[in-house]
Amino acid sequence: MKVKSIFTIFGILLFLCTGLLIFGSLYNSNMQPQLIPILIGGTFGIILLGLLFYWLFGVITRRAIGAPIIEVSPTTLRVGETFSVTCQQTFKRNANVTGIKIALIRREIAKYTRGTDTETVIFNHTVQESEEPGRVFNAGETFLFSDRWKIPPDEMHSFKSRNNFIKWMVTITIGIQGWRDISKTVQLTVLPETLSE
Amino acid sequence: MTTLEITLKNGEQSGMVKQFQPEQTVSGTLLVIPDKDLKCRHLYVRARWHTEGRGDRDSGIGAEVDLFQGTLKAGMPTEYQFELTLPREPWSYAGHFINILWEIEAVIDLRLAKDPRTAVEIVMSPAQPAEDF
Repeated sequence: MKVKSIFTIFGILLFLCTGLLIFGSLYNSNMQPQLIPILIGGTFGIILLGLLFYWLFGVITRRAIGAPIIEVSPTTLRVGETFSVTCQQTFKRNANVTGIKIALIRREIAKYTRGTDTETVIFNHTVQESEEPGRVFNAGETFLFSDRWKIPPDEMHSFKSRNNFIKWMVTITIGIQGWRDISKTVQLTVLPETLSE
Repeated sequence: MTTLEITLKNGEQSGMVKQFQPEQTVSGTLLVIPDKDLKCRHLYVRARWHTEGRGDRDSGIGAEVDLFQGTLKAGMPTEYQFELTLPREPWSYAGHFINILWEIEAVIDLRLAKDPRTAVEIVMSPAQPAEDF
């Protein structure tokens, strides 16, 4: 699926511009020292404004296009067990969809401390996925996906400890031209049991 | 140096290690040959897991038995039988950022001294044993 990169580009440009602004200002010997805090404060202000805009655009997208619905049954599963996945998206207005991806994901989350900071790394392993090609959906049109998926018999159960986590989820991501991607996730619990037990 | 040697009697061979099912009983022997008289507060054999990988290490004890308390005589080999019932989770796991490893560990708990220790790696998983884990 084509991933929209407008916000990534916007973020990088914002970062480069502010960086250049600070560097240029500091490099210039005519810079008034008392302006430095204002400049730094302004930079953070712009970044916060950008994040707020990004969040707001997501809310507007959901309002304008409509939010997807995912139904997974059951959500508590054993390793090797099959389950039903139903995804539905009704478009409130015409939308040029670049692609729809529905995926079963095993996510690893690992936290580690570096100095006084705690860092988190995430790895998503796509166990199963379905990709729908892009097309134009008219207002009122509904996209529907329904299938039976399976937690593979050689897979791992959900796991939670102090710093390490293994989570299971089904996600739907809809890419729409001119809008933010719409996505929704449903968490699954995979028990440490196999189907044959 | 005190000798501690764990021998596992059951489990399926999976590459270089033995594989056990969750909730299976691990049977084995522990051979202890102290290099000097040791006032042993506890002689523990444990099934324990720990994580490896990018995240900070987490660990837990799945099962534990206390085989002996008293004085272990220097140079006298003693063999202890043990049985440990493994818990149902977590299963052994080899992922991208996270690995979960199991081992059978033997520790002589000494007062104000470094505890002699040995461990044997195992796999705890319901999956079919692999030739190379």
